[in-house]
Amino acid sequence: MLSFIWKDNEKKFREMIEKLPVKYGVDFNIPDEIKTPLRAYVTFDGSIIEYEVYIKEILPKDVKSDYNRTTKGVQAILVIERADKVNLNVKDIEPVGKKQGSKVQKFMLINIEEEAPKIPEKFRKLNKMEEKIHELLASMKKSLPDNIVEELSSRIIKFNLNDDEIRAVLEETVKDFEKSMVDPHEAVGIVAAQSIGEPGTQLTLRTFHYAGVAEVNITKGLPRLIEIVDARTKPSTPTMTIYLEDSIKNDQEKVEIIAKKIESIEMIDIADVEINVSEMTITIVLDREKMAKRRITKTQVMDALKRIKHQGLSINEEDDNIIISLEEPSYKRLYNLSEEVKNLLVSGIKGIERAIVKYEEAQKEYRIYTQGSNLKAVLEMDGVDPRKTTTNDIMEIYEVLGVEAARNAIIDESIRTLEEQGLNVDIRHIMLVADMMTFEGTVEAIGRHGVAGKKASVLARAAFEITSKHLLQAGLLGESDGLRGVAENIIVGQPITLGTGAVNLVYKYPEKKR
Amino acid sequence: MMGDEIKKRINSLNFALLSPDEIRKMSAVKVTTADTYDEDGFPLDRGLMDLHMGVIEPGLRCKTCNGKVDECPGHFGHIELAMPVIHVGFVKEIKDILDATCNSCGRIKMKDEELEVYRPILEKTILNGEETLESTSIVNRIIDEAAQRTVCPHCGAEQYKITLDKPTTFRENGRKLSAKEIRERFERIPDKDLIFLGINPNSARPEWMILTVLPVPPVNVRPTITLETGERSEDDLTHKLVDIIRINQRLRDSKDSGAPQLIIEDLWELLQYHITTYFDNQTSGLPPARHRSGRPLKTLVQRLKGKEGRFRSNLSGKRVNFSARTVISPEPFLSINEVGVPEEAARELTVPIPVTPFNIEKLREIVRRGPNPKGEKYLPGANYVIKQNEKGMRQRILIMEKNAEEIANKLEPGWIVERQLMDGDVVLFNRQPSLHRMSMMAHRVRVMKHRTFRFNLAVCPPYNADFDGDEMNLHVLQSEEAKAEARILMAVQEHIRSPRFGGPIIGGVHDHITGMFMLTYMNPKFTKEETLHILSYVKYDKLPDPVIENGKEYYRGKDIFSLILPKDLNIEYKSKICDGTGCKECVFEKCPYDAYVMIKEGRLITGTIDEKSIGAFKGILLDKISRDYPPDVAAQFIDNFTRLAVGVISFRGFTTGIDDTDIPEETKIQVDLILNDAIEATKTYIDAYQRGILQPSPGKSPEETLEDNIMRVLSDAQKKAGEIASKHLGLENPSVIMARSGARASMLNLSQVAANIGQQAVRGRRINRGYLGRTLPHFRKGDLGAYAHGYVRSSYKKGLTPLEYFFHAMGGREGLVDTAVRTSRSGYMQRRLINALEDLKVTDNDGIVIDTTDNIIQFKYGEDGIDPTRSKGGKPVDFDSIFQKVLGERYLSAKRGGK
Repeated sequence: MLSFIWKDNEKKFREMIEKLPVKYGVDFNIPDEIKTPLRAYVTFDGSIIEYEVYIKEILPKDVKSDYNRTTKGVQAILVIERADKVNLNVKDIEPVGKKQGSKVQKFMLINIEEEAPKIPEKFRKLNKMEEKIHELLASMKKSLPDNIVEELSSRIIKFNLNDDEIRAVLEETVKDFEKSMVDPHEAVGIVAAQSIGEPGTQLTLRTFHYAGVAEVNITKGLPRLIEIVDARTKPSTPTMTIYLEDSIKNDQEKVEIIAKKIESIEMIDIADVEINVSEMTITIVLDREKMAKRRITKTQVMDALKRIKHQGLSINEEDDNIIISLEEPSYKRLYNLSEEVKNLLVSGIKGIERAIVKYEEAQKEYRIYTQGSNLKAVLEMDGVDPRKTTTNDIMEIYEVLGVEAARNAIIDESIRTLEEQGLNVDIRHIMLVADMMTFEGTVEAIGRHGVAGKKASVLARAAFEITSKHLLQAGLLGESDGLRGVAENIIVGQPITLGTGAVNLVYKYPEKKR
Repeated sequence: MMGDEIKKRINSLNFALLSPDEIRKMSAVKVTTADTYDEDGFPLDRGLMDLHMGVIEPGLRCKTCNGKVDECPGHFGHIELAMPVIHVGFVKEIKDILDATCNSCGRIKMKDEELEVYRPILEKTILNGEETLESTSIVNRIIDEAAQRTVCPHCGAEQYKITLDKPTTFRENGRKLSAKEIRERFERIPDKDLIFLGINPNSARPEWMILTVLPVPPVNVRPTITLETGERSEDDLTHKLVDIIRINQRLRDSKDSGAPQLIIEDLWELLQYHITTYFDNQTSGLPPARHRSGRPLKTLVQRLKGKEGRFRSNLSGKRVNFSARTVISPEPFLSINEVGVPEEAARELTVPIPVTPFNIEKLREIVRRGPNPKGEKYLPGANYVIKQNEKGMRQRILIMEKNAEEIANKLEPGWIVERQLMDGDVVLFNRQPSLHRMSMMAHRVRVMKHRTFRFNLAVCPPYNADFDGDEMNLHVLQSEEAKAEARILMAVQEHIRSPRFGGPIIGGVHDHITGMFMLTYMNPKFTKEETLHILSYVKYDKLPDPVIENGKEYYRGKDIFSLILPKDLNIEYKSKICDGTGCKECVFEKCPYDAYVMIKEGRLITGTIDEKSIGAFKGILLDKISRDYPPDVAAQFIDNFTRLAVGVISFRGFTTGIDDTDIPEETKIQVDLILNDAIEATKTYIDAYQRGILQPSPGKSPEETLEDNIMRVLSDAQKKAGEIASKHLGLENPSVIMARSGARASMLNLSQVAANIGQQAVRGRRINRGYLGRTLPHFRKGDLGAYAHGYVRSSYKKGLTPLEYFFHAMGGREGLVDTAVRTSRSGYMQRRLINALEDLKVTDNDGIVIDTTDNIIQFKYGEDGIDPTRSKGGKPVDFDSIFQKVLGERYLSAKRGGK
C-alpha cells in the first residue's frame, strides 16, 4: 500500500475534514501510474493520530487556482474526499515522496481558496470606451499602449466628448506619441547609465531613521543605490513592509498579535542563561516580566527547548528555572550548548529582529514594519496579505518569487531611493538597468563580478578591471574579439556601433557622362 | 585623396599564446649582450638596443626594415633561456593542469567516456568562441573531478598531490618540481585532451606556458631617455631585461662548466625571479624589483593595468589636437548656441578646408593674411597648407608672414588650407566631470576679445558650470561628417530637454528669474523710453499697444513679456510664488497674489513669470515650448528671455544686503519668546526623563524618545520663529524676491539670517561627540540641554557665540566630508553602470533593445518605445495640451469645474 506521512497541525486538520472534499497541495510528485483513489497515511507532529485518507483526484500543480500562501514547493494538488481515523500497522507504511523509500516524507499542506481567482486591476477587461478607442485606432491603422488608451478613455468620459472630438483627440495623440518614439540605434544603455549616475553626486551618504517609524533604520541615498546595483546577497538593513488581510487590517489588537508572532524572540531576550560549573548543568532563569511583555508562555519555552538536537539531554523544570543537564558533560560541550540555548528561537520568525505596527493615515490601515527580513516565512503566516507584503531584500524576492519579481523589486527600490532624495529619474532608465541585471534569469551585479565582467569582448573586459587576467586567459582560450561593442572599437580606433556609427551609407557615383 | 575616403574596418582580433618557434620566427635578433650602448653612444650589436629592433635616434636607420625613426614600427628580438622558466600569469592554470593530468602518460585523469560527453559543448564554445564563460564552469568541474583521482585510469600510474608554493614553486609530495619537468609533462598531453582543460588547441599548447624563449620588445616600446645633461636613462623594461640576460648568461655558463647543482638551482631561481618581476612586479609573495633610487620598477603588467595603465589612459581615452582650455565667464548677449572664443585661441585652432575652384579666391585671401593678421577686427588667417606631392605623399607647409603671399598664389584645387577659427565654425564644448551627454555640446564660434571662453548663462545647468574659476575644454571638428553630426545631434538647442527626466535642463537661472519676476509681478508699468531701453536687447516684431494714463503712454510688463512668446501658445499653471497657503480655494486667473499664470494665444494674461515658468529643471513654460516647437524656436525663446531679463534687471537695478533681513524690535521679542518657550519645553522633557517618567514612544528607548522630542521642539520653534520673521519680509524685499521666485536661496535661509539658526546635527543627531559625557568642557557632564548639544540660538545677523560657532563648524565639516566621499563613490558607480550598459542599442525597426551578442534585453525599449527626452516628464503624450487643443475653452472650464 502506498502511503505518505502528513505533518500538520491537528486542529486544522480536524477543521479540514469537516469540510470535505477539500483540496491540498503537497510538495512531492505523485507518480502517474498511480490511479485514484489513493490511500494515504496521516500523522501529526507530537501527537500521533492515524488516518486513512481517500483521494479522489490528483490535480497537476499548475491547475488554475489561487493559493493563499507561497506556492513554492507545491508539486501536486490532492482532492481529499474522505479521511478515516484508523490504527494501521506501522510496518505497512511505504512512504512516497521526492525520494522514494525515504523514511519520513514531510509535506506541506496548502489550502486552496475556492473563491474565484482575483484578477489584479492591471489585468481587467477593456471598458466600452476603451474598446471604442481601440476600434477607432484600428480604423486609422494605428495603435497606442493600453495605459494611454485608459487615460484617454477616462478623460473622454469626464469631458464628455462627441465622436468628432474623439477622433480629433486620437489623431493628436497618435501624432504626439509617434513624435516621442526613440530613434533607431539610440545608445539607450549609455543614456540610462548617465541618467542614474549623474544625480549620484546629489544623493546623501547618510542612513536615516525611517520616517515616523521608530527604530527601523534603513539605508538610503547613495549607499542604498550602490547596494541595489551590486546585487548583494543581504542588504545592510533588511526590512519588510507587511500588509494585512482586509479582515484584520483595521484591528490594532489583532495586528499587534501578528507583529508579536513575527518578531523573533531568542532565549536570551526573556531569560538569563547560566552555566553551573559545579553541577555541570545549564540553568535558564526565566524572567516573568520580560516574558509577559513579549507574550511568551512557559510552554513555548519548553517546546523550543525540545528542538535542541543534542545527545543525552535532559530538561528539568523548577519553578522559573529550567535546568538542562548533559549525559556526558564537558566544559566545551556545556559552553557550546549554552550558546545554542541563548540563541534559541523561542517564538517568531528567524531573521526578524523587530516588528513595529504603524497606522497609515492615508490608507487607513495598520501595517507592520520590520527590521530583518524573511519573506518566505512571513508570506506563509495567517492574516498576512501575501499579494502586497514585500521586503527590500532583492535576492530574497528572487529566491522566493522569481526573477520577474526581483526585476520589479530592483525598479521599485531604485525609484524609491532616488525619489526620497527628490531626484527625478525616468523609470525607463531604471527598467533598463534592472533588465540588464536580470535578463539571464538570475540577478547579476553591475560590476566586475556580474554584467561588466561577462562581456563578450576581451578588450572591453580588459579595459574595465583586472586587465592582465583577461588578456592571458584570452590567449589560452584562443578567444576572438568581434569588435562589436563600444569600448573595443574605441580601443582599436574605429567608429563605434551605436547611433550614426551603426549605419553605413553607400553612395554610388553616377556613371560619368561621356 | 581618394584612398583616404575608403575606410577599412578591423573585423576581429584573435588572441593566442606565442609558441617558442613563433617567438624565434618573429625575432629580428637574438639578444645576448646584457648592455645597451658602447662608449660612443652607439647601440651594441646583439645588445638590448640592437638596431635590428628598431631605431629611436634620429639619423640612424633600422637594420631590419631600413626605416627612419618615424617609419620603423619596431621589431621583436629574443633571448634564449638557459633553462625553462614559469610564466607567472599562468601559475593557476599550470597548477590546474598538473592536478588534472597523469604524471606519466599525460592524459586527463578521467575515462574517455566521462570526458567525451562534454566535447560537443566545449568545441562549440571554445573553438567557435561563443559564450566562453559557460565553458569555464564545465572546465572547472572536469579539473576538480580529475584532481581527485589517485590512479590514472589510462595507464594506472599512481598520482601524487601537487602543491603550489606561491608564487612559482610547484611540489609533488613535497619534492620540488622544476619548470623543466613540468614542461616535459605538459608536452605529453595530447591535443585532443586540451579542450577539456580550457585550452584551445588551435591557439595554445600547455607547455608554452613555460618559457624557453623570451621575446624582447622593440626599442620603441622602451625608449632611452636623454636628459638635458646628456645623461642617458634606460626604460624600466630595459633594466629588467639587462638583469635577465645577465643571469641567463651566468646560468648557461655554470651549466656548461658543470657547476654544482646547488649553484645552478640558485641561479635558476634568480632567473625565475627576474622573469616573474619582468612580467608583473606586484606578484604577491615576491619583493618588487626596484630601481637604484628605491622606486619599484614599472614592468609589463603595471604598464597595462589600472587608471594610469595603457588601456584606460591611452586606448580608451586619448589626447587630441585641435583643442583648447581656458577659464569660462558669462556673456548674456551670446545665443545659447554660441560660445565666445578668445582670439589667441582662435589663431591656434584650425579647420581644414579643401581648395576647390569655387572657394579658391577666398582661401587665397585667407592664406595671404598669414598666421597673424593685423588689424582691429579679427579676421581668420591660415596656419598650414597641405599639398599632395608627386608621390601622393601629403606635405604640410607652415605659413609664415614671409611666405604667405607665395603660398597663396601657388594654391590650387586639391590642396587643403588649415584656416583659423572664425565666427560660425562648429566646435564641441565640454566641462568635466562629463557626467551626462549634455556635458559636451556643439556651439557656434564667436571669436571675441579677452582671454576667456564665454557663453550664455542659461547653459550653465547642463554643464553644471559656474564662474568661480571653472575651466572648460573646446574641440574643433575636423571633418564635414563630424561637423554635420555635431550640428544636427549635439547642438545646444537639441539638448534643451534632458533624457533623465523629460524636462528642460537649459533655462533661466538666478538673475533671469529675478528679472522676469520684476517684469511681470503685478504687471508694472514702463514708460516708452524705459520699454525701448529694456527691449533694445531683444528681437521682436512691434511694440504692444500702450495703456494711456494721464495722457502718457505706458507699457505693461506682461505685454512686454508676451512679445517673446510664440503666437499660438496656450497654457495655464500655478507659479512658484503660489504657496497655496492663505487661499481657501484657488480662484485661478483672479489670483490676488498674481500667482496663476494664464497664457492665451501667446499673451500673458495673468500671473508672474518665475522659476516654475522659465527655470532650468522646473520651467513649465519652457517645458511646453521646448516640446511643442522646433528647437530653434525654443532656443530663440531662451535667448530672448535671458536678454529681456538682463534688460529689466539692469535697467531697474536690483540689490540685496544684510538690511533685507531687518525685522522690527517687537518681532525680535516675539521670536525670543518662542525660542525661550522651546528651551523651556526641552527642559521639561529632560526633567521628565531624569525622573524616569518620560513615556517612551512605541519601539523606542526613553533616551531616543528624549532626543526625538528635543529635536522636534527645537525645529518647530525654528519654523515658527522663521514664520514670524517672514511676516515682516514682503515681496518688495529683494532677498525675499529671490527666495520666493526661486532665483536663489530659500525662506529658510532668510529666517536663519533674521531669526534663528537652529539645531546643528552630525550624522543626523544632535552633537554628541567630544569629551567624556559632554561635548565641550564648558558644560557639566551629562548635561542634556539644548545648548550643550549643538543648539544655535542666535541668528546669522546677530552673530554666533564661540560655542555656537564651534558646533556650527562641526555641522559644516560633516557636509564637506560627505561631498568628498560621495563624489568618488558615485563616480565609481557610474563607471560600472556605463561599462555594463554601454553596448545596448535600439534596433532599427521594432524598438528592441539588444546587446553586442544580440541578446534581447528588452522587447520594447522602456516597455512603450518612448524616448524619455521627448516624453512629457516621462509620459509619452501631453494629454492636457491635446485636449486643450481640441476642446479649447471648454476643456479648461470643465477641468476647473471638476476640481
